[in-house]
Amino acid sequence: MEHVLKRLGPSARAVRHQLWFGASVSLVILALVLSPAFRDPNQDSFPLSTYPMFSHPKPNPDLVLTQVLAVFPNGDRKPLPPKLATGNEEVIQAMRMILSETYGGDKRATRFCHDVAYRIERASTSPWKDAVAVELARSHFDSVAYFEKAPTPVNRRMLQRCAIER
Amino acid sequence: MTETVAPRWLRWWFPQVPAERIAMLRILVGTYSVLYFGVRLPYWLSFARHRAVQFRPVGVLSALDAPLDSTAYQALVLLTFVGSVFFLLGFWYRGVAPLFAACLFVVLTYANSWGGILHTDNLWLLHVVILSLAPAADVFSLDARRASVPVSPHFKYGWAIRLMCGVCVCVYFLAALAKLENAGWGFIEGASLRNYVAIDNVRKIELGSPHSAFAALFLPYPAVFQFLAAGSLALELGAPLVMLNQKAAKLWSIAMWSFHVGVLALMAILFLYPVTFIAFAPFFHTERLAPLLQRCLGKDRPKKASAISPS
Repeated sequence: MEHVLKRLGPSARAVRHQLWFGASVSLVILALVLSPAFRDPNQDSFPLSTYPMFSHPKPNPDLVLTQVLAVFPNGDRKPLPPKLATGNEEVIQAMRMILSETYGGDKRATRFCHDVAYRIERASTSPWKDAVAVELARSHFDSVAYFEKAPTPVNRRMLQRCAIER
Repeated sequence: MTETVAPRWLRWWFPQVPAERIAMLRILVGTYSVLYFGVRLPYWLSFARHRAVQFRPVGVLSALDAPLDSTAYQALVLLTFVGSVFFLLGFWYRGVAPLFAACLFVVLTYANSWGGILHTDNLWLLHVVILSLAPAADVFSLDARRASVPVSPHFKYGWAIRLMCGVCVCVYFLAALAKLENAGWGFIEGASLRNYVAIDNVRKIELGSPHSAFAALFLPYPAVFQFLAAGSLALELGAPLVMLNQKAAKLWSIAMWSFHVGVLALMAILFLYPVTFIAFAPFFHTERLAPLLQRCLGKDRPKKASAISPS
């Protein structure tokens, strides 16, 4: 690069500065962005990610999901939207929160259930204003059969239940 | 640096491009930042109210053992929004743009520190960081209005655009590597992808979130998913090669955009930055959008246009 700069004359200093700055920033950013390639692909971070989403083999369509359900007077159950269930509108983050709250010990799960019930008590929108209880449940789905046959769980186990007081 | 004296690799990474090209990229990324960050202000602010027990810090915040003070965090979110406006307008750019990039870096990292890392904002943040370190406000900016120095094509505008393209292809390449490391070449058989589409949609329905209306139509046809899996892996794995050919890069950009539209249609996962096509804008001659910008600003007459463009 030096022989190039020598031939540039008086503007060489500015050119040298711009070249070194551009090259340094480029090298550092590219090295950082590519660095996750040299670590375990499942060790994700932000913003330097391994982008592991949907990369694991998924040989069957089974899904085991921990859900927050609103229970209605006729016995119907409806999954609560992420914002109402956890206060977070992002479904993936809400799902992780539900997991950590439900399996973080009895005390934490009970508190979480009551927190959700409190949020529903204050909800004035249909259908949530008619709900009578909140359930934390672990449900097992066959995802392909869910669309091709019936949208129901293969089995479901209730983990926590708390009443909604109005 | 002239065309004749510089080595070929240097000219490739530092191409002489018009200032208008990188300025238009700043305006595109800046507009996205103002709108996306602004519309989602309640979402970013909501992390100040989360319970400390849910805090799982990542990245530069990994060393924290407790959430940030909620008032300080909310102030940081608002500062980031103000910074995005300054970034878009090119106002005090050399000082404010890096500050905006740093604030955005912290806010997005904080938002990803609550148990689930999302991958929708990575490329946007990387592009903001690169633009904030480049002279992207020499034209079409409030700074340019004050300085009114003539601007001609220069290599100092070229490296940042090349780098924006580089990180764009890198993130897709990394996604391909993760698929090959975790699932191997068996990924292209499409069975995993089909199950993912089914599982992801059921998960969304059963967590009370919007889901795809199209997934159920395609699930009975495994061949569709074989095609989609092979196609997406080929696009991701071949991404770095498109850096070598401008035409290939443009075609690849359109193909990747179609891929994201497909993901949106089949899985209701919105990668907004690529879907708006701004993620791929660095592969194009964005200065051609300048007349459109000038029309939008009501400055379509040449004399008036020079008021915002000293070139």
